[in-house]
Amino acid sequence: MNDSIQFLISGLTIGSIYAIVALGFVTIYSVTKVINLAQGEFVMLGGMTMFSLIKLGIPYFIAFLLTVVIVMAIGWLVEWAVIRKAKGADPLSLIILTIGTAIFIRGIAGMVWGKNSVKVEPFTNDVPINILGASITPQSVWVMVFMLLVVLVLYFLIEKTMLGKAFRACSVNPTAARLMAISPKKMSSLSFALSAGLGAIAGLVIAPIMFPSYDMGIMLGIKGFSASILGGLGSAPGAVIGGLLLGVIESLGAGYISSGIKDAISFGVVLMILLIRPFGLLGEKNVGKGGL
Amino acid sequence: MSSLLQVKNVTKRFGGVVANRNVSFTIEGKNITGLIGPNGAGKSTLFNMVSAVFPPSEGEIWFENKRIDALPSYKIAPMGISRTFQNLQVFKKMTVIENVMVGLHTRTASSLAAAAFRLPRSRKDEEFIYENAMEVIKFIGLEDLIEVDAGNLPLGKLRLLELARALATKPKLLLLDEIAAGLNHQETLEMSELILKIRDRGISIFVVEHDMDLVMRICDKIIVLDQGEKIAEGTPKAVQNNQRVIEAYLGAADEKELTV
Amino acid sequence: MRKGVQSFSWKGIAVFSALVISFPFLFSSSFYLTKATFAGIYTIVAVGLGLLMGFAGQISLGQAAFYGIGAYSTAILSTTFGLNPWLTLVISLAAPALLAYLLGHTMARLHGYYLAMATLAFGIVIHVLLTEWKSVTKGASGFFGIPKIELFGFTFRQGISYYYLVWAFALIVIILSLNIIHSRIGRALRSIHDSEVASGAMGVDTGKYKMQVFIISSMFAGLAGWLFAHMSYSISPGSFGLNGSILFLTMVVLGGGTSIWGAVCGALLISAISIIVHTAGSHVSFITSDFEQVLYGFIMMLIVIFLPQGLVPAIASKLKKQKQKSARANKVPAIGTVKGDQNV
Repeated sequence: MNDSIQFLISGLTIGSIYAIVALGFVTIYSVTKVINLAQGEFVMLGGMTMFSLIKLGIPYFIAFLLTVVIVMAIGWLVEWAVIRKAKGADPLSLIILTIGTAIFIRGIAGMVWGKNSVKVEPFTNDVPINILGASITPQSVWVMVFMLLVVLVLYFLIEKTMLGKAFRACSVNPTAARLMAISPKKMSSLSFALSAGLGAIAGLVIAPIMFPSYDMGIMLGIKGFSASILGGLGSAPGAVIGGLLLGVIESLGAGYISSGIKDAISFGVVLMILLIRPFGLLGEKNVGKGGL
Repeated sequence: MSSLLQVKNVTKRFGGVVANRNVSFTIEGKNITGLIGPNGAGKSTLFNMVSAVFPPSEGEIWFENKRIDALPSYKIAPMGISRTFQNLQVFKKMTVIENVMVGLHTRTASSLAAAAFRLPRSRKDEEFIYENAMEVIKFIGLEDLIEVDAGNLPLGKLRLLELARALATKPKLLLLDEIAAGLNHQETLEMSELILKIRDRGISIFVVEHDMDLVMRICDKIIVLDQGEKIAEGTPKAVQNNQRVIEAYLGAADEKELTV
Repeated sequence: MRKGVQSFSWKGIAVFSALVISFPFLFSSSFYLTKATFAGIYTIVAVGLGLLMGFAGQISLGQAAFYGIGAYSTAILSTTFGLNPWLTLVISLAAPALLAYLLGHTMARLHGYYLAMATLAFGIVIHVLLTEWKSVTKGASGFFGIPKIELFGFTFRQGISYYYLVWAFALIVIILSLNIIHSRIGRALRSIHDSEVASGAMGVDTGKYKMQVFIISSMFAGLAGWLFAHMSYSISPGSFGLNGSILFLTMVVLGGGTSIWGAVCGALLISAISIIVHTAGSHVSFITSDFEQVLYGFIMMLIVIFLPQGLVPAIASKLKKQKQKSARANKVPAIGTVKGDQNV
């Protein structure tokens, strides 16, 4: 019993990260119809940049903000320098393009930071809290809190602000949006910056738990992608549910069967769910076809 | 003997919009049947249902005593129905002869493995495809262009290519979707000669057409649609003198004048 | 290549074979020979993936898994169970084909990005199984003691004989693929790209052929895996993970999936780049395996942005245009003699 609560907690922790990454996918996808497989690299950049800034002696809180800003700038750059140049490419090419971007960023990171994992101090003290006989680290609590914060802020941003309206306009009809003086190009840049920011936050909050390294991004990116597919591509609530579900499945699999095959279990489940519901849990039939 | 094609009480809805309501008609063998009507009358919808692009919401479509309305579109061609597309769906990156050769796809059956190892079966099929494609191309008159990429052809030749590709399937019923759209007077005349020649080969033809002269000249029977419903059916002469048809077209003409 | 309507040009095959045969005489060091043997193995995978991407319009982010299944099937059966490698070749082909068939059934219903996800997930599951099913695969440290292939008493060892064995298979794969694309099925597949609705109206069952090509591509990968396993004394799961799949993807993207020669060139170019990077790496400190990754990423970005069709189709279409231009200038109709070009 205690075990299962423990597994559930660690599942929800990592699931929260998957959820944030998945929200990053959804943000870009809903505005530009691009699946950005480099999303995980933003997470890696978040963790690694934080490590470097702290090492430079920058105060924790400022380093946090600076990291988000730097990664957002990189996200914006990726859109401006790469994605925008390939406008009109078919979905197949776009998948390849973002994979190329991902291994490019990862390679650079490997050259900059080396191959070793680094350690980032947790936000607050490290004394585990006991709940129902299971122990939970304060950082895990922070991860979940940040996930909820991200959901709230995104909801507010999309539903209540002009930016959200512009995003939705671009998603529904780019031509009409242009007529309304909304620049789809600008929205595309903004969506990349925003989801890079989401990735950075995910990287920041998970860094003290995961010991970030240059190659952590690819798996996190794929997990986030799975989560968004699982939930139904394009659906934000689906992304959160998909992320948490994936985290819990993985954690239970690791706990009760073997930690080595946790990825096989989670992706096996993804395959099964796609078999039963080819359009994800909350997906609509036509989302995600992307013309392929 | 029953008709080649029977459309029975067909209705098609898109969401709340009714594109066709309770339409019934038949097409007989070795005949040219025309489908006309003002813009938005539901001609294209009807056409797409007959060629199994999508199924009707209600009603049945029978071809040679086989029900076809629920079949996927690729099963229609081998039964003997082929079509052209108003918005030109040629295979642009393939040459003219390759386009026509795709039309012969269902008249051959050698497998992927046979093709990979060039088994005699595959060779025989390839020869058959090439010879028949050339025959159709010569009949249509595109033999000077066989090695040109379809994407480089002018509109008139593209319409001919679509016709050749459709004929290559050896249809019993050929559906022509605005085959003369965009053609000049001379090209339209040549096209109508060609259509008559195809009919004389024993192929039934069903045309959707805006060009009234063409329709009246070549059709044995005309079906008139207005606002999704069949309002008249008969010989060109009968249809021309039909009061409801005149009203439908005059009404449309009135609207046109108003919008100008 | 498309000149002859019914067949490809044997000239291309002849020239290419001559190059392949003469390579060991020009570069006889074992380093180059090993790299060139690998290039042959990669060519087999890339041609299959090219068929899938360029002709069936499907993407596979898990091609290395089929490669791995081919390699491990033969490794386990020929080492643990002592079967003859020629017998296990059948399994190395059949096992990927069967899995592709099962996965393909989901593919028929999965579209677009969902399909990319399914192949990605499949690749990861297989990679994890190869690593973790230690009783059978011996885990991450790798599977040792794989026997060599023998034929009529001759043993193919790593080096010149294995080079020729691999490239003999690669040439067969290239010829089979060229045959496929110059057949009714190849034309049907190409037609889907231009207009799926017209293909349907011509009676092309698109789903069926997409499935068949997926199976073929998995079998080619399995064959490559079989060759890889018996070349090396040992194999480990590291060769069959996501990085492997991305490497194959890069080859096809670089060379161009809409041409068989494109996939071949892609595999050769990436192999050449790898040689150059390794050679340069021993002199320049910042050129590392990470640098290689950066380079691959950069190549993929550049190609998608500037030459989305890939190198070979881009060059081919340029040549074709020039030819038509000069033909027009000479007032000669730009038409090849179709029948005369049949070299069957």
